[in-house]
Amino acid sequence: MRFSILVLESPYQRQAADSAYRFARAVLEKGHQIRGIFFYMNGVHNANKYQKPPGERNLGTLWTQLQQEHNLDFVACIAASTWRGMNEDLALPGFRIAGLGQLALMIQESDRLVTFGG
Amino acid sequence: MSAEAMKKVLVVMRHAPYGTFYAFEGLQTLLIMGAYELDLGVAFVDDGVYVITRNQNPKALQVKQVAQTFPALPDFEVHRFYVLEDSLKERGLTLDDLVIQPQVIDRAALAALFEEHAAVLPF
Repeated sequence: MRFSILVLESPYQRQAADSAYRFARAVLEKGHQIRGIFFYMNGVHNANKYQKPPGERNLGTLWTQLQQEHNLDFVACIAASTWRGMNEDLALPGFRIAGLGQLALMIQESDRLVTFGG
Repeated sequence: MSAEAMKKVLVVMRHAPYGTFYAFEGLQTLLIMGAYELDLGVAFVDDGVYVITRNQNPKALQVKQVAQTFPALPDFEVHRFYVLEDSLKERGLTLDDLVIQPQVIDRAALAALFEEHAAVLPF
């Protein structure tokens, strides 16, 4: 099955972003595909390359590893990024910043969209 | 693209319009997604029914009024509106309290909606 994932929450405040990451891993391990992951609202903070939780899992690093291993399409919403001061210079490798239209495309090209947060 | 081929997307409003930003962003999603050949619906459940109540005045909060945009959504290719009957009743609300007139549905109908939509976007 072909999935897309919508992430609405930042790391380190709610579990949603971690759950999304684990879900993505599980989906791929089961042999399914991921069309894309869209980071919206506070979810755009997942893309921040300066996140540095001392002695804890770094979700940004985990996302980047996942993206590079499977060449996934990671999109941080441009409007949500603008509101929150996220931009290309602050973003981790593998994340691109683009509009909600990309989420529409992901939905059109997936069997299921699964949302984390909200 | 034919209507049959269009993916069905359901935005689910679950939060009150102010206090968190989910309702605002759910509305933004509806406004933008309409341009992308998707069959869009929106369901109001739990405190999400407050999103479309009349006489909202969030001026003191310095945020935009959310409800006023909903009557215009058909212009943005959003044509299906649902409200959960229990959620209205639990809050002492009726259709007369709302800025639009969604189809009133029970929980079984809501479950069926989740089943038939390719994407359910909870806000």
